[in-house]
Amino acid sequence: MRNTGGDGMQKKLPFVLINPRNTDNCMSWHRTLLRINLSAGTTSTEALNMNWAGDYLGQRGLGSKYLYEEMDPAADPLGPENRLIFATGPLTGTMASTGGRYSVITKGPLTHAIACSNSGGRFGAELKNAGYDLLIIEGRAPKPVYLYIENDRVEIRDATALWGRSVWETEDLLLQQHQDPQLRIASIGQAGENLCHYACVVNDRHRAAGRSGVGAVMGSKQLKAIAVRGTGGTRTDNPDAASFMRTVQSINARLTGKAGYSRDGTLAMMDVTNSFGSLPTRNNRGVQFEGANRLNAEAMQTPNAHGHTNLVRNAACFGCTIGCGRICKIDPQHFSVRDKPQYHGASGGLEYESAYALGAAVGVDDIDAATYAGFLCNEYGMDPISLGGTIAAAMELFETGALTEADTGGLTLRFGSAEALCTLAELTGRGQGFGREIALGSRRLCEKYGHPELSMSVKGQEFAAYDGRSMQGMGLAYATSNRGACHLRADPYGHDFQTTDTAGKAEVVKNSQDVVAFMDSTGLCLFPSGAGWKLEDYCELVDTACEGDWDAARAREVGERIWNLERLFNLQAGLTRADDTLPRRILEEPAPSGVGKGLVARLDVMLPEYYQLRGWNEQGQPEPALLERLGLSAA
Amino acid sequence: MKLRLKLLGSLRAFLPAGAGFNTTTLDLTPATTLGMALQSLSIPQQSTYLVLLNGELIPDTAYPDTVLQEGDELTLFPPIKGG
Repeated sequence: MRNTGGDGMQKKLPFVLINPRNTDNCMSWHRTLLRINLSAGTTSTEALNMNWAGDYLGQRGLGSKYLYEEMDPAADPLGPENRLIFATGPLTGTMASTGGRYSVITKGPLTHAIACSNSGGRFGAELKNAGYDLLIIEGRAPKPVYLYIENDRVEIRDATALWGRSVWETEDLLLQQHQDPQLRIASIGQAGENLCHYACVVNDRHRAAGRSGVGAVMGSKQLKAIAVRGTGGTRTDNPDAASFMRTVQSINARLTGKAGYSRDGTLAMMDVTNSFGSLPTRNNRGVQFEGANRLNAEAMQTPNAHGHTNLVRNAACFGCTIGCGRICKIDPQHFSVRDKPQYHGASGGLEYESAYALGAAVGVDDIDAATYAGFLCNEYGMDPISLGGTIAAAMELFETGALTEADTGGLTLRFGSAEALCTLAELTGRGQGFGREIALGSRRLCEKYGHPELSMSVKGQEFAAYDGRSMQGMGLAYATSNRGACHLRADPYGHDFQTTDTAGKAEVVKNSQDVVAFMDSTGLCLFPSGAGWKLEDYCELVDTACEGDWDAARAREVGERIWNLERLFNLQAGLTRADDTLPRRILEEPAPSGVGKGLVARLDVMLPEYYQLRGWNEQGQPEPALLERLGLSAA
Repeated sequence: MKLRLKLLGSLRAFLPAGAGFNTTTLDLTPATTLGMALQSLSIPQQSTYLVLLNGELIPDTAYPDTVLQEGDELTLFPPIKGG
């Protein structure tokens, strides 16, 4: 492998025509990154650092490496010093199943930690097929702009007319303007413009790089959208394309468990967690929701009293053979949309996480209200998990008297109020009224009103849809996740559903964090690993497509390197061992029901063991021997 | 004796015809054990799943000795993940 990093070329606006791509050695990296400096108004390309690609693979890993090398981790996440990186993986844009993923990597305004948010849809594959492995955005534009990429043609364009528009309006206007129905767009809505701390980058209308506020970083740079058209395709390391496709077909046949995801989507999880007692309910006061049967997969597929069925069909991202996405319609007679015909059409519906956050977390069992709030998240560009988690915290603050109607602008915020949910989603998306405070996220909201303990978050990021008392491994995974509470940074599910005993949890969490970090760097989705694929299947695809030998041992080492690099970023950003914790409720208040009834999260037992397994000292800092082994000593 | 059986997630594909979305009724002879009941289901042998009996997690080592009762609720779910 050779280092081709370094050389670049620059031109001023309006656009540049450049093609430095290396085609002498076909492999599924394009070996090219596109750099945009919004302050200077310049675009340039550079050869990808292939030494880094060998060590970090792509997408999450490689994007994190560039972020770490290029910015001061202590910088203001909403300042021009922050980088915003769109990163594809080597398998993005290939015909490997689920090969449409990209990640947005930056410093997150919600957490002040490294943020890496992953999305599907078709945008990532289009960016890759335009010829770019990474897109690095620097600085801040003096006025709203959008980026137009058509293969080698790269333009920074005026977006004054788009500013103030929603994600959906922005996509419609750009498609109309460019008259290209195959243009793929990633954009922010009003929430990103208003610097909502958990604003998303949304692509293809309802797929999102959703967590940690990556959309607010885009908004802070006055970058409204990125519109991409790529027709170059993505080659693999194997000169015989049919051979790569045979590997793809062979590995696809191992997706033996995909039917459940296709049929019921991720929402199939709700009955499991509700039965088990790990469905966070009413700001984690409870772990089982009596209204779950009105939000679950059955409710989504069953006609209501008006004969309306929420689910229209399933949907798949680029190259996906699973199709877990939900396309849904709100009952036109529902109060939320009765006078709003613009919401009567089909769009991205509830997934398990959004059904939890906009349902059980706020005590709402109205599937149409939750679907409406989810539509607004896509339209305005907000993370539904953090929005729901913050509204849940506000409801508890209100019910305990810490918040009053004088604070909320007259709104009564009680658990179970579908009206309050819908109104707050509207206000937050638009940046109006009490919605401006909901946009802060639960940690800042609860601190402001004197009850920081009521924020169900880690490092400022709201919990996903699993309670860390009945699922002890998930509690540890939340506490140690580099991007704040997250259900997709480790894979403790199987172990947690087998036992609440803490023995072995630290090892499961540590090992799966490394594996997931690798998978997140391939360009593939994590869900095949829940539908039959093993780590070795991901490795076989990478190995077939990329230069070098990619086996499971190397994959684990790459994942471990990524995890530790993210950790170093966070330590240099000012985070400490004290940030590897859980809210007091999870540590001290026993779970009230379910399999984990009577349990609290035993972080006191698991965290020291986890640090030891990681090769970190008692302060949670990587030891020199570990850094040397992973080639991170210089870092 | 009659029991309520819930097959969650991908397991619901193995419900008998005429069952609800993910629920059916099992009609078993008295003194049937959990192990015997699970063997009587049409779930493929290679399938992996976990068992809740009246909301309590039952380890597989206890299947042979757990005697089912009239009115029990049996919930089976695969080690599903994600969200």
